[in-house]
Amino acid sequence: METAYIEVRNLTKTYSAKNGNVEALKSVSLSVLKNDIFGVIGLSGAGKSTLVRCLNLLERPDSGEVFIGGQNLLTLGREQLRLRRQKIGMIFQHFNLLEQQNVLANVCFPMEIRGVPVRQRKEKAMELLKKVGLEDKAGAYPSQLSGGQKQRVAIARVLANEPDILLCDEATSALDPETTKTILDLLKSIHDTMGITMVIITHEMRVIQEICTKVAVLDQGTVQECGSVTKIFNHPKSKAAKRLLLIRDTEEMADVG
Amino acid sequence: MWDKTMIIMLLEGIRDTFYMTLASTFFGYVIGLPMGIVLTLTDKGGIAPNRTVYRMLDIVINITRSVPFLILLILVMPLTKLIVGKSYGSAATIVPLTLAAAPLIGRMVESSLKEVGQGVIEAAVSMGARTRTIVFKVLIGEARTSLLVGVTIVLGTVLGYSAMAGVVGGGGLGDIAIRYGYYRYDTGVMLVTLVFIVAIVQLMQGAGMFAAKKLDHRNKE
Repeated sequence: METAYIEVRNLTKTYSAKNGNVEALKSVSLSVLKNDIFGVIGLSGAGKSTLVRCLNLLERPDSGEVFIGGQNLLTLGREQLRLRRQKIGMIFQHFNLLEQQNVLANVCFPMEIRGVPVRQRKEKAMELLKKVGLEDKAGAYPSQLSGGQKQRVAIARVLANEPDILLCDEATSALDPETTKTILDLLKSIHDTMGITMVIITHEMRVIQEICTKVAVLDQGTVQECGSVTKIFNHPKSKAAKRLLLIRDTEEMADVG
Repeated sequence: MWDKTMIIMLLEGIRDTFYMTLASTFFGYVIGLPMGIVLTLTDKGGIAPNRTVYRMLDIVINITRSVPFLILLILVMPLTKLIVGKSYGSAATIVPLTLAAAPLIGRMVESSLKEVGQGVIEAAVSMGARTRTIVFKVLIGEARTSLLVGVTIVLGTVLGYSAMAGVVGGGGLGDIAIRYGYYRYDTGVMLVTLVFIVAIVQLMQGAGMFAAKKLDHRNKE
């Protein structure tokens, strides 16, 4: 059997809120193989964002373990974690670009963090902008771009550090269906050419369908079902998976109508 | 009344007012900017939450902010004497002005930096940025418009305080206004100084807002 590249064991995370505690994750275990495009799907509040944020420790779990390439992230010191994070890319629903910097500077930013010399930074950034089809926007500011273009900049930025893992936290949720499709195509081609292991968090079945090889269905902080996309789409066992498929079908019907 | 000495006095007053305001604001930022940064980082939800540090700074700022400037001015006179050598004149006024400006600046910087979206900060953390990089590039870089507006407000406030220092011979336009207008009932001179004070505030305000707008790329068309 292949060994897992990303492995989480028994993750739990509880938030204390005003009206009692919220258990975002209840003993979640998952393994993602190298080169997988692994989807995590669930309705809002299912705990999927918390889960992905635990993979680079933006969020620290209350208990459990997070292994990346055999290394337990939770045992790393501050500085080691900081360096490891440079190779774990993340893109976000709201893009999170530096609004006061132009596109080129945004793509250069991760390389600046790593201390890459300015000339090399710019060369590489232009190369990446070409890859995402935005070489003519290098001097533009994020406020001048559309949502899809902003996400492309974020993708160019995340590739600047040549990550071995890419985490996508609802990366297409702020985009319209057509733009979503182009962004997913871009991610797919990046996966195929650069061999990056991807974890994709979404609430939309069509995102999973479009791009993922495996999927885990998350509901109320636990994994309901996990396996190949075709298997779960054709023979959903859990209530949560059935419900998500139903939502997709209704949406498709609405699209047709 | 409008002889040469009077004109020279007014010009010197303008110079001293600029000198006091700019120097105190500068030293105020030397103390207040780090305070604002530490407040932002250590508050809950910041990137290095630390309740003790936050509370301590918070209390220090609240206390110093509640001391009326005129009282602070008199209170710190021994310190002023120690640093400057005398307790009157424009150089001496810089000491209490700086002490009054610093906590105000700390608060203004804190509120500016907290306007920066959590998302961008998180993105930088996820890229493995050092705290130093996050502070300078993300927090200060992204909040620069708001920080500049803050500088403009601080300049206006400090200039107002500097005029108050005129009561104890603080130098500058305020000093002239109080000596002539209050002690000698010379309303003419007082009004002239007032016009200058208003003009200086307007000038600083205009320059600050212009720079802030120029440096803002968030709503470019």
